[in-house]
Amino acid sequence: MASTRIAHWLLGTTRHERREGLVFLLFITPWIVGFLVFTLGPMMASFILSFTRYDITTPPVFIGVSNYTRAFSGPLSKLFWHSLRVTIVYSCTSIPLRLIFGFMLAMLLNSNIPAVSLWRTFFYLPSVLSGVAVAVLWMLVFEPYDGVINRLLALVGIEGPMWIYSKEWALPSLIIMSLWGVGGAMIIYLSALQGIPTALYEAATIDGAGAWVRFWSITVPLMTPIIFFNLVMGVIGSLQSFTSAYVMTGGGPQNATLFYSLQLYNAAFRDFRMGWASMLAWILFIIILCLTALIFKTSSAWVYYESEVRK
Amino acid sequence: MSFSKLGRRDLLRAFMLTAAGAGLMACAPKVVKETVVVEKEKIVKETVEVEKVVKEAVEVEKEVTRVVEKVVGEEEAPRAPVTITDMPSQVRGSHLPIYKLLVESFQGRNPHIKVEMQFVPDSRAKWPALLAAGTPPDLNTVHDAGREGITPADTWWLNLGPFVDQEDYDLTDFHRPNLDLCYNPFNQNLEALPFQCFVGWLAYHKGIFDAEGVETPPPDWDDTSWTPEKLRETAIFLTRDKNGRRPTESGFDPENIEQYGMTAAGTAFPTLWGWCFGGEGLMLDREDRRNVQIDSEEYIEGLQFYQNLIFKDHCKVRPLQRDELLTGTGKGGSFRTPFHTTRIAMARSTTFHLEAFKALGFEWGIAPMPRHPVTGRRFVRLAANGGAIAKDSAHPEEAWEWLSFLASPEIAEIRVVDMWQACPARKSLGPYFVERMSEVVPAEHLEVVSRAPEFSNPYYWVPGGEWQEVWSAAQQAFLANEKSAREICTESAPIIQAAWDEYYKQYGM
Repeated sequence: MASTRIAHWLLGTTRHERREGLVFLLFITPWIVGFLVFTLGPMMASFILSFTRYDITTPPVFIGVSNYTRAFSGPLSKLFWHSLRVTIVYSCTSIPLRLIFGFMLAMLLNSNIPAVSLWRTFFYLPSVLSGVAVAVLWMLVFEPYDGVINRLLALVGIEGPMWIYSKEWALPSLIIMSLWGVGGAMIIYLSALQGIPTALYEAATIDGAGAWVRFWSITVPLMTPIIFFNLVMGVIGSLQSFTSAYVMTGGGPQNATLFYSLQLYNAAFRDFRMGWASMLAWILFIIILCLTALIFKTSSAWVYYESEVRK
Repeated sequence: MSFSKLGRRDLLRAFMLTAAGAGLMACAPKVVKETVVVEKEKIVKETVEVEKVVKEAVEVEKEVTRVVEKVVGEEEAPRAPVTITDMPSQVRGSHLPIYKLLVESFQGRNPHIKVEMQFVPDSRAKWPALLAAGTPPDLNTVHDAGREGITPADTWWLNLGPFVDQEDYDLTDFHRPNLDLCYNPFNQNLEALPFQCFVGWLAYHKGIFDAEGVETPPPDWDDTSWTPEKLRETAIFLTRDKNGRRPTESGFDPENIEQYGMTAAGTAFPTLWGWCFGGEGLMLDREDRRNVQIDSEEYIEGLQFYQNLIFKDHCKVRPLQRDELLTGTGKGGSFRTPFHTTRIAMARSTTFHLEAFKALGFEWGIAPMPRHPVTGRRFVRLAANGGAIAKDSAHPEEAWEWLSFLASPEIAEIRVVDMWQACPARKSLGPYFVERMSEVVPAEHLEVVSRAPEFSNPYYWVPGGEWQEVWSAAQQAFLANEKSAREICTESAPIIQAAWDEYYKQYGM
């Protein structure tokens, strides 16, 4: 019987195994309870609410798949698709840039330069700061008339754009800003770089490989697991971007930075349309899940694990 | 008489005296007795009567005592202590000691009611979560009362009508536009009491007017000569580029304007211009909340008038240039506006700017916003605060006592000026408000401030939803001169109308 098999699997057949199994369950129970109460439970509630009209003042009213159909084809579906497009453009641009910049920084900080520890700290610190503080700081940096960037550009005779006040430059501004937190990924790359056996580089050097070949043939392949990890985390994080748009632009100008999460927030906490917001949340969840699954599926083609034996 | 010579007469005399005495003695008890009896009877009778009276008096006293106890007992019998919670919004640090004093004063008069103030950064975000959890605060300050927390199906707020009727609460002291906002548009229940309001007027730089030789706007709400067209002409005349040229003069450089005819305190409010010209804006029509009428010719005309001020007449600061004019971190402080730069001749202003105007360093005045010659409407928006009780409050009576205390004239005096730098919602506070405003406003302009609430126009309830993003984006394109008024109105109207229809359909309307 299945239940017997599960019990055997969990608790073992011998007394010792059963005791170990019970100890395992005892230690994992707090996490399970927390997961059920604070994660799975709210997820299920949100899923059910996505099929209702719920405005907090009245009990939820079941409306079937109406929320989903209106999102894709209702009078305001244009806005739904627009916010999705803005988020995807942001993610597709910021993720590669963060991966590349993080990797390059790690390469630089893996070399023997004076005060390297200080530099590593210097580049890592921005990723520690909180989202709102960073957003306010960057509002000053992007200030068209008194901001740091435009003042520096003016020194070389360039008239800077209006940045977050311009429909064309608002989203690129937020993408540039996203590179601020690249220090977190850099540290992970750095630790992986320092784990690459130097013998490989020595052997390659002896065989006549130049720096570029060593980089592409040794460094990059051995770094692919880290790149894979950062890619997955980047996709999950960037598709949920919210703080920068909320604090700096409010979704404007002219909805140029109307991120999907911001639209979700407005639906839930400005308009109190919890059913609609729950639907948006589940669509986002499905998108992120599919993309993550796709990355995992394709990883076998480009991610190399040192201990892996390829057939 | 001597006993030695006691004669018969003496003896007879003695005998007669003795007999008389004996006779008297024999009669006296009877008389006394009778008298006593009579007296006694009388006394007893009287006693009985007195006792009867006393008894009646006692009964009456008992009855009185019973009645008094009944009456007094209902009012003054020790009531179980009750704690009510109040979550005001937009609280500043300077408000905290004032709230403390208000609570102490109230609790001194109502010892059985404990008021617990809950100060949170954003009560509007926290309130719905508490409401959904079934534990909302008893009282909340609602901004633009009559718009928050209301849907066609339900409301967050308690109907205050029964309390008003029970106490014969005088609502006539409130300015009508303020009070109108406190009524639920779907069931016409009174759901809030007004606290204070913010209204607008035109502030002007007297120095610029004098230097240009232009008459200042009339400080009189009853004056009909100050129209939108007159405002426009004045603003154009007062605008100069860096070379001193006006927009009407050849060679005028709109990219290098040194002195602007006018600006707004914010970048919004084009919808008010459309309404001023006779259109029914999205939020300004009290009667019809079903039909989006922004594509009417009057509304489009008003909006286009506004856009022309910026991009055709070049007499009004562009939204992006407004940021250029403002300096300093946080845009120059909470209440700094382009008017502070001395480069603006006229600016829309409100009460909480006036304190900052003290430090302006130039002579300024205020005047009513212009009046449309045909519609009679003025571009004066009313933003009002009010107090409302949660529908599911566990202590509605006590919450009402706290609310009516906060809305009372005595407390409103403190709240209006000291806390919010706002206009009073009560007409009776007009003289007090004028007296306080005389500390910052020149005497000849006090009437502009005191009468502003009468001429103000609130934004009414509209459905929520994503249509706001559509209209916001359209307005931004309009303010960037990328689209005309006609384009944004005709494009947005059907989308917003469809969204509204869908919203009402969900509620079976």
